Amino acid sequence: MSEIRLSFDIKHNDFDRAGAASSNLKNSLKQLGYPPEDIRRVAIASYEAEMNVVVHASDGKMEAIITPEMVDIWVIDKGPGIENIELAMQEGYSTAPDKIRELGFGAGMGLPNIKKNSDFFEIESKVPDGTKVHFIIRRKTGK
Amino acid sequence: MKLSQIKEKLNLIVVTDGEGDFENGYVCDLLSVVMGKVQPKSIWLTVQTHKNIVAVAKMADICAIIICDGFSPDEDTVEAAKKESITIFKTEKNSFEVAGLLYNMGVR
Repeated sequence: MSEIRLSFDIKHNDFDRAGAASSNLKNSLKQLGYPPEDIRRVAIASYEAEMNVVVHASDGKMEAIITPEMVDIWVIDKGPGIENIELAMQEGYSTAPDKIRELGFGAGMGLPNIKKNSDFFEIESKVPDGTKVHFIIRRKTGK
Repeated sequence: MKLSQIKEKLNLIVVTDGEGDFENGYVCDLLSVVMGKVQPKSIWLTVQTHKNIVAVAKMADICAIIICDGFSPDEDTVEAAKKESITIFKTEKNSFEVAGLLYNMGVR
């Protein structure tokens, strides 16, 4: 395995696809024989990033580069952007609408969960252009 | 602990059947809190019924979901669970009761 690039579209408000991008990414890592502990960190971080686009943004995409050493993931959307990133990074802070909260989303743990599960994390956002979330999970166990 | 053991002891209704073991338990209805805190190979108690519970279970390596308080999963939730081999039980008991019973059986 040298380098594998995957790209997935993410649709705003499409709860029926239920994490299709991160689910496909998880399946690919399993097939490549990535260790379960590392796959789990990728799966949780990527699902959170994907659902952030579904809940908050207009359409977006997830791009993943898989190498034997790490999984490098970009989740990019087309807006509306985050007004205050510092607040958005706080556990428990959420701007999700009530209808979505009833489904159990909007706990205000999405971005903190991505950060917690990754070895590198950065977020850039511009109102109204959009948000880029970039995170890397390094392979920790057995190569 | 085996899923078949708790199925019988707690008199759970099987929605999607599955064999296998689990090690821990977790109760919460906020998906991101579950993703952030649940341990792998857990059984998860919730009242959420939509398809994304299967995605959360898949991503966080949860083996089985117990839908409590008499709620029933949506049809597409059941289909997704079958596809992803996630066991779903349901029960009239509330999450507090189910958690207490599991705790008494030694699940942590």
